[in-house]
Amino acid sequence: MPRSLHAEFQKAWRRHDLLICLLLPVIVLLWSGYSAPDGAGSTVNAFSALFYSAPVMNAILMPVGMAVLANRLWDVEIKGSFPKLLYTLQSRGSLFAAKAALGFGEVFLIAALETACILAVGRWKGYTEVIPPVHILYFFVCTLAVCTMLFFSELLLSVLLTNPLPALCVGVVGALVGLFSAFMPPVVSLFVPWGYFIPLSSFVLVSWDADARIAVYGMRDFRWLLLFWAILLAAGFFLFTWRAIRQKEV
Amino acid sequence: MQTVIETKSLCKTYGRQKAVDHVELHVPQGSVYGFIGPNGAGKSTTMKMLLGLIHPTEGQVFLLGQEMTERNRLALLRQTGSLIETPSGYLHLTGQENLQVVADLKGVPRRDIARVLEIVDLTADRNRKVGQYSLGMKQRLGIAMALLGSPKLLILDEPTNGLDPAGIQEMRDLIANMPAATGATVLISSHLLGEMEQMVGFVGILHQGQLLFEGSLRELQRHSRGSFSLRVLQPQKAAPVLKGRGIAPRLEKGALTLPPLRDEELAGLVRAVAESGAGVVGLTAHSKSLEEIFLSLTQTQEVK
Repeated sequence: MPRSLHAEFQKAWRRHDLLICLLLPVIVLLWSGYSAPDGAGSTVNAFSALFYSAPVMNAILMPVGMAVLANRLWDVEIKGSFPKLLYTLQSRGSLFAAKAALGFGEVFLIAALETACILAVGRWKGYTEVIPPVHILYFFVCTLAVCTMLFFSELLLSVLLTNPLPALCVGVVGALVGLFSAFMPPVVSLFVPWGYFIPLSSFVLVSWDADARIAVYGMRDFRWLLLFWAILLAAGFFLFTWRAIRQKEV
Repeated sequence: MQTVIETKSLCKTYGRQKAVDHVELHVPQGSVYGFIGPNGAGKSTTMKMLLGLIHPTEGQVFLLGQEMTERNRLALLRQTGSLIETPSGYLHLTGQENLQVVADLKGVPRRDIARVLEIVDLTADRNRKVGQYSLGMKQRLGIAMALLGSPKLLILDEPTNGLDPAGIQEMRDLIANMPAATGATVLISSHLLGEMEQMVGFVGILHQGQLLFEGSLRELQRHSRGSFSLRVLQPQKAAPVLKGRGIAPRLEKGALTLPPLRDEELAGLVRAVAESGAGVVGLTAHSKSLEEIFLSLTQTQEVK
């Protein structure tokens, strides 16, 4: 496994995966930084506003971002006609384990950077609202779980279909469907995994005064069952991808 | 004779179609073995089974004297180099970086990279991205990957595919000299039968999944003896003698073309022509090209 993981790092050289990992949180940072309330006095809920908007941005960006990352991870083997040679040098299990570890590492980095970016924006703008650390941790875990689920679903598609285009299309369509599901009755969003960032969020819009343009945000209970379901889906896609790699003849 | 590859009743079935049908290969140590057959004969499928890339429906594979199992597969393949169908190469990495990936996975010291680059004449292009390589260069890189670690066995599936004539000649020389240069046994497949004659010492002919012939190239050529050209000063005197022995001679480029004959028949015939006063100048034996032999084997399926 260490040898296989080292090989994955070698393959990632000049593939600019790290740039994508940085780009996704940076887009979230720019977007949320632009729309975030200004100054400490503008709203007592400023930090909550940031954490409320981040899952919406995730629902738009992450399905595409995860599709790109997963595709690049597998497509490099297909374009290089490498599986036939690789399977004579390493077991399929070690190849999958190394790819899964690298992919999860990238997803972890994105989720961690995004959380850090949100906190940095709040500090930079001088927000005084104190967010309980457990809510920050919950936000990070939810982002990580849903991104991991999306990553392995896209990796599965890439392995099964060989052609990268369908997986990318699923990512783009998933982003749109996921976003729209947030504006439908709550039960609908439960059936759209691409948009799970939104129903999982512990930050809610309590009231919105359109005339005064004042929004009040609050917190709600964690949705453990949905989070567990997202993790279960991620595990399911992980296992199906492993099965697909093991069974696919080259 | 020690064999490096041996298969016993090797079969692969896809649905109802038998891609490989009870093939029994015996590849002698230190030889260049040509695995010949038309497209779709089952060559690549057989080679993939030898490398454990696909599972046989039936039969066993023995590599380097050991039966290949899931447990010892990678250990055996670490002593093997392979190039199956298209050459591998990460397009965004340089030739050198590609070889580093393979060397590290094989557990081969990186200093071996310079040696294999030298063999395939890619030293000057080692720092170019593989995406900028020509097909011939990619093929050579694929061979270099196979050669890393000086394997005891090389399995090459149509390595001259897509190469220009100069590249084919280069590859041919490289492979023909491999046993002497590196001590490796080479199993090479091709559907270009003519080029095999210049490389291989042993031949296996596969057709519709079945091994029609296996043996030395000489044995195959002896087995399918070709025609003879008899040059005489006066063909009109020789013709009645030949007709009298049931042979209808054809006059081509000043020589009489005779069909394949056994040695005794030929000796008697030449003596009779000489005694007729036709003036025998020379006798040339034509070996059948591998193409002709292959065609006769696949049409009759009598040999073996």
